[in-house]
Amino acid sequence: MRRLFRRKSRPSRASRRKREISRPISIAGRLLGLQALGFLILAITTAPEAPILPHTFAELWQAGFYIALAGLSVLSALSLLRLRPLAWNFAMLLQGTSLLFALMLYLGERPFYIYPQMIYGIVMVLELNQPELASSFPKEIINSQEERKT
Amino acid sequence: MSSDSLALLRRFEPVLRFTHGERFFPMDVARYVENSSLWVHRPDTGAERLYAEGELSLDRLAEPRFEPFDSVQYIKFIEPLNITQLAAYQLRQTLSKKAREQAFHAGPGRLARVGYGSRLLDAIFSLSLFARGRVPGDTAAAAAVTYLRIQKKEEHYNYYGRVLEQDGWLALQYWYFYPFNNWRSGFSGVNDHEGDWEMVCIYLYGGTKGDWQPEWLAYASHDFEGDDLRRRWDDAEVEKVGDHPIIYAGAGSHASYFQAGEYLSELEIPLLSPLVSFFKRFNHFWDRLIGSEEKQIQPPTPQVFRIPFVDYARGDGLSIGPGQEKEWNAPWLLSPAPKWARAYRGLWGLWAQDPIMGENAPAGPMYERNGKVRRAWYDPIGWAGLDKQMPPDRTLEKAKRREHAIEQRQHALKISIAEKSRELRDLSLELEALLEQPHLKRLYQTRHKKIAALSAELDAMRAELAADGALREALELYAERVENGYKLSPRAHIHRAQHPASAVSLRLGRIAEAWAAASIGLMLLVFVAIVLFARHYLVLGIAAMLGLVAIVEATFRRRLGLLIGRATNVIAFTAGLVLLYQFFWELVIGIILVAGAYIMWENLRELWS
Repeated sequence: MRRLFRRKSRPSRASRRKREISRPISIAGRLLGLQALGFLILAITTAPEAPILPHTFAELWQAGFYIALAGLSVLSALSLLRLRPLAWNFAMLLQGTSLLFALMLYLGERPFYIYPQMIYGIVMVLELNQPELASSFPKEIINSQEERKT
Repeated sequence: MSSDSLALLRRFEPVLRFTHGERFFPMDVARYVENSSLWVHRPDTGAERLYAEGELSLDRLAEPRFEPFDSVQYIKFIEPLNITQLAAYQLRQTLSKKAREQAFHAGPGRLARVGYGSRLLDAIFSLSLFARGRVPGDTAAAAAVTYLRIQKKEEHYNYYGRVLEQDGWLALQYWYFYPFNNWRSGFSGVNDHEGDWEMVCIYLYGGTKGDWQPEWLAYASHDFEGDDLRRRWDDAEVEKVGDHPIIYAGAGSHASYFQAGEYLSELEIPLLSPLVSFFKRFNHFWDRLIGSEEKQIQPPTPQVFRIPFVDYARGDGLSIGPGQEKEWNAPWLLSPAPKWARAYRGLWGLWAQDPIMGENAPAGPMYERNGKVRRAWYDPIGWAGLDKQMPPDRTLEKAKRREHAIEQRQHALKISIAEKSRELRDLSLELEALLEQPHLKRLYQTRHKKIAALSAELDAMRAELAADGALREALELYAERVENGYKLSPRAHIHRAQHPASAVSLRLGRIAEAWAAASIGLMLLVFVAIVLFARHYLVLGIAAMLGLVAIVEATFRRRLGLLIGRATNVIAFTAGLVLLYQFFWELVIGIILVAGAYIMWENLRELWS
């Protein structure tokens, strides 16, 4: 994971000043942080009470998944705020996973919390698609890796 | 005239450069016809042979024939090889060192260059050949054997020349006849057919002084027409050896290109055009919705609903022309059109009964397959969009003449304006006199209307005078620039140009190509396996399979980031639809409440301020 977020080369102070964090990036970073908090709350809400019985495995798995999403959201927020080349792709992947999970739950038991999860996810996708934000990051993972090599 | 025409044709005769592996070259039609049979297919009685191989000649081809409606006359060059002959031919090709050296190597396959949707369509297109009429697979081999036999007897490379003066231009047409088009069987292209006519046209000017100079040239090419076919003689894209332009002929297809390279052409299926336009509209809508700058950021993607084909025009094979490996034999003249060209409206090769025409042979240089005269024949200037273009030696004179005509029109206009102005002032005076005279109300109204109409007319005339003034100045300036040798950019007329495809950079090249070739078949096998062994998970299985395929594809094509972005957008859109479905009335009420609160707030704020 560390390799994934490694900076391609250390930019000079002047170029760092040039690449100051714009307002949409800063907002998206904070929203991702807030989303991490939301995922943690969802993990606590869905976690089964001890002792764990075989029929509560699904709930345990779900809580674990939300904890993983929360962790990834924190990472994504940090990488976005630090302008890492892969941050945009990673943030979009996170939103896609979260929304897909919510849609799968919608097709099954439909718990109430999937709706705020969907709304938040859609807002995040729209935010991440903002041209000013999207154009600050290279879209291609491979290209950015090549950039790193050169 | 014919000796002058011949001299002009020879002065500018093109150099044809072929791709390594090409088997058929421009030849003399008389020899082709001598080695062919003539057939007619009548709707009621079927096919009948009119002349057997060895009996046919150009004179016999030109004989008048009276056939019922919907009958098709065609030449048959080749009887397909039997299995022994084909095996012998293949063995010779495998064992012969020369044949191995001359074999074509495709390089990065066409399927690896395009997306999954296109590959699926390609598979369907290939399967459709079983249902459509097509030229049998071993015909190309038989044609190659016959062509080699003819060439062995007397090696020759011929073209047919036509010289035609039209609107101040002199068009030199070079027609090339190939005995066979083996684009499909030899180079994984669209079609195979017997007989292939290709044409190149060079446009000269300067006839008034008797010294013809080349200005434009146009090559017949797939999917292009009018202005886009044409390049100016001084365009950097046009390569030349002295006064001889170089043409790169597509391998098997023999289409003409200005530059060496591999050209990706796409065949659009009419049945799928509604889908194409739907996806175009959806993409446009999405881009507008998110205000995306994607179009600038990302490289253009290949069209999903089109079948990709590569036309290899590498120019690394045989070169025919002045000072080249092979020289042209003395050309045959098509002006005046010989009897065989005028009288024979049938096909110059096998009629394969293909409903979409690709596998049927073409008609002669004068005609389309349906018997109509080709535009390139009756209007060579308009065919290349040159009918709106003035020959350079006449431009200056024409500009000055036009300027003079406008000057005269301005003079006439000025006189009319002066007369109308006088009339307007008189009417205005009368109107003032009619004021405050109740019994003359009707006359006042009539005068008033007349003044309004005259005033509008005068305004239009003055506007025209002003526009003419600007036009005259522009023409004067243009004439001055032309006199100093000014010319428009040689590419100003081009709307859509064909460029060789850039080198394909695929991750893990060979594996990616193998994947491209095998993926469609593999996907069908997995689908069958799911149906047979895991029918309960059909939807999930198909979704997982497609997802996996998309990820592998995107990785090979360096588009994983793009895939993640697009897939997330689609999932977000779906989630939006779910929310809309689940909370439709709540959303409507919410929107009305917010709108009501906003209006109230705005009104109250105005009141308090």
